[in-house]
Amino acid sequence: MSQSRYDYDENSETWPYFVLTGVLLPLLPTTWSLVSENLSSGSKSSDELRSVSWFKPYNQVAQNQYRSKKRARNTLSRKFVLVLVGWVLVAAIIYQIMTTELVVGETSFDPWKILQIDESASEKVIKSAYRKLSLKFHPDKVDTSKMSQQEMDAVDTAYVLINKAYKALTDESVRENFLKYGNPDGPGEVKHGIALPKFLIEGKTSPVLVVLYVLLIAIILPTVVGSWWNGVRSYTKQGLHVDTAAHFLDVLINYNPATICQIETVLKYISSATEFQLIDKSLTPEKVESLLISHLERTHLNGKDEGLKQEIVAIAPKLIIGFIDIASSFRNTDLCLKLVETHRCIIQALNIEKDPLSYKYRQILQLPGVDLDKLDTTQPIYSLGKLLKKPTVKPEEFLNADKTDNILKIASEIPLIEPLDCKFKVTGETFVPPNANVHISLKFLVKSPAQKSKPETSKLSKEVQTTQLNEKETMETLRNPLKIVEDQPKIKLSTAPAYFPDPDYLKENNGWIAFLIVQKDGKLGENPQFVTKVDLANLKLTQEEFLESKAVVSTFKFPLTAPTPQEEGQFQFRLILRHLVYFGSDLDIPLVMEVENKPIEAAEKDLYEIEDPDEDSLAGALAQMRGESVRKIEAEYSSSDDESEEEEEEEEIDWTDIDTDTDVEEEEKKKEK
Amino acid sequence: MSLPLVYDSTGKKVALDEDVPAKSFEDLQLEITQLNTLIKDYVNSNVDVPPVPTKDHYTKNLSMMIKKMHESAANSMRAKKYNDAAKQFGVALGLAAARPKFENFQMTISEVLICLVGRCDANIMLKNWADGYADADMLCQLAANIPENHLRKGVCQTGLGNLLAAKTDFERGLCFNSAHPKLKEELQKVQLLIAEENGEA
Repeated sequence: MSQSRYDYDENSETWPYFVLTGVLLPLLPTTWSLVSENLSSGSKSSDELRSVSWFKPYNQVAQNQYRSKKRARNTLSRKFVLVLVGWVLVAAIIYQIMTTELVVGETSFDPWKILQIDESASEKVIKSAYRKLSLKFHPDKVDTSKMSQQEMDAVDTAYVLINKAYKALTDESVRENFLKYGNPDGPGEVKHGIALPKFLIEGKTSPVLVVLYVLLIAIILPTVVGSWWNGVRSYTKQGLHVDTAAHFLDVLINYNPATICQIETVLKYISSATEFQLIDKSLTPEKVESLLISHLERTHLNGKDEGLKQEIVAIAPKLIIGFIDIASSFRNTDLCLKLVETHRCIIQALNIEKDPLSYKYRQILQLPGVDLDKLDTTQPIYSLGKLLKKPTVKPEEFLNADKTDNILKIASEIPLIEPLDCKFKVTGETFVPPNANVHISLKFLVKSPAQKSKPETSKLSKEVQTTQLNEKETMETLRNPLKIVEDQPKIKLSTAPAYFPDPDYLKENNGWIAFLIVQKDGKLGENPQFVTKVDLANLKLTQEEFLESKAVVSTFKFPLTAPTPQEEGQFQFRLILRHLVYFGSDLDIPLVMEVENKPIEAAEKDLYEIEDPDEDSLAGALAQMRGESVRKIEAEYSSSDDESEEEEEEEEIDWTDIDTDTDVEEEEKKKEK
Repeated sequence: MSLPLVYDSTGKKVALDEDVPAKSFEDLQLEITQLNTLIKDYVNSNVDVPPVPTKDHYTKNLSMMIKKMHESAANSMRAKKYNDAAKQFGVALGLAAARPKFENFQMTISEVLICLVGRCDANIMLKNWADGYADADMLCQLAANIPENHLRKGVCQTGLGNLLAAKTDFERGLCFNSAHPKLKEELQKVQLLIAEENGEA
């Protein structure tokens, strides 16, 4: 044994396991997340947003460059490289383990094996086995004359082992030692092992190990944790850089209500976002703004600027969505609606504020291959519906573009919303009581601009009528009223807008955004919601099929965070739906919330109900402090007390507004009295 | 932090330092203008502390002038001289808005509203939709609960061709008086126009 008190792992028996565990611990979850990410994007790649093949926008080359750059960035990400290195390391370690021969230590003492008997053998059998073996291996019985020293030693060792084994099974004290310590000689010397070869610790290389430890604990660990924490801290939940979020907040705090908010204003606001500086340090807010405007005007730039433009344009919509989130908490309707408008303008590369014609013909200009210069602007065809259903001149003459049929097909695939029913709904109720959790339930048909009018509800198929249009209230829907919405398929665009470089963004952000506005002051009443799950099957129907029974009804539910008002009455709202990608697919519905306080039908008395505690008991006093109801002691009622009692009760009602049921019950009790 | 300000003692005005680029201090410029207006009104009031803004301390002369201007504008409206009327309402509006800032604000607002309503109507009669819309939008912000203001705004939106926005305005107006006949009529009209524009009708 060495001078040191430690055993070193000279044979590489332990340390590979140690390192393997250390490597696999972070590697397995990372690999899992990488694989699942790739799997999900891989499954989506089959339904990849296809861009039209018959029309090449001016920025096609730059877009392709951007996309291939992004793909390369995704596949050769740092995570991917780390995982790859990790698995190579694992393979190397496993090879090392496989090639190392294990030397069994002397500690594995098995008396039954030594005596070549069964573990359940009786004492008699043990004795006879011992005798047999000791006769065979006794130093006096074995002919050692022709043996080498080594062989003689082996025979000696074998004899000693046989003796030990026998004693371990028969002698009481030796047996105890064996059972306690696994060794008939009693507790052996305690050994401490280090899963590293000796040369690393005691040789000249030991300073290297110290340096490694210091590096790991004092530098690498704090740096990794610090940079991770910084990453977490520097982006908000919506994925905005904190500085950008602070800038947006600043804009809103200093928002001048007299500002006429325009798309240009919005572009100015978002141009100062930190994200753009992270793309390229040379990007000043002015430069970003000019690049964004050049995107809206569809002008080609030279050299590096065109590439930068694609990068900027690709992230601008995400910033706008983050900005909407912040602006909506300031209830700023004007800015929110203008932000959505800007979002669409960026995706469709349209500057609708450039001149009145661009604004008027925005629905037509969003179609690929349509150019304002070629458009017959004497014709009042401003909407997709007009273009497809009742054009004043032939579409070919009006559009004056190549491939008119293709353009019209794209137009007919843009989803429009035809509302059927929109109301406030409290789950499990037929009316809207005060202080209740309410949601807006919007039943609508998705239709193509080429489809005319809407089918009568009575003509819809039975199945649609009973499931989608008139939802049945089951335990499931009571628990989760949004289930019917979640069960609908995710919206998928039929074609990618021609000028926008990042189709991945559009896969996730392509539906409608819904705002709820309070009519009284015209401000936002709730944070906006997204309509992302809608059945688009109607788009493929012909006019006849649409009007008959084949149309599908979709549902959107807007849960309100605030409870319904306490007092009865009518409250006016407006539900606004704006499409995030297309012009001309918006909806605006006035809504009235009618709060009524109908008495609850007398429920049968629950036999197992726990009764309210008596007023004069300790439990009653505690319940009163909590604001719960107690059972009054009737004998103590007197005419003078009655008033004060009532006053007390009124007070109670004032601050127990959470639990309306008890109030009603109490009132009923009073009536009964 | 020191701001790039200079004080002009003769004009008793604060101004932005000429050396700094005015564009980067737009917000400051706005506040300077507001401050100067307040100071001017304060100096003109000729007292140490401006009187409490009650009905008694309300410059009646100015009200008279506004009233006269409004009357003559209304006469022009009756005579169908809408151009003149719009100008006269504009003058009356200017007078009402120029009232010293330390006077009663509520009464100022009502005067401003009356003039604005007149000018908006004159613009509508002239089919001057953009100006009419600007006035109506202001009216809707100052007095959102008057259904007629939304009617004006909606009519201007229709004129400008923003049919969906017009529909929204009429519907909002109906929230404040659901039985308003003119609003109902306009709403129906605009719904027909929307259907026509979408190729449904």
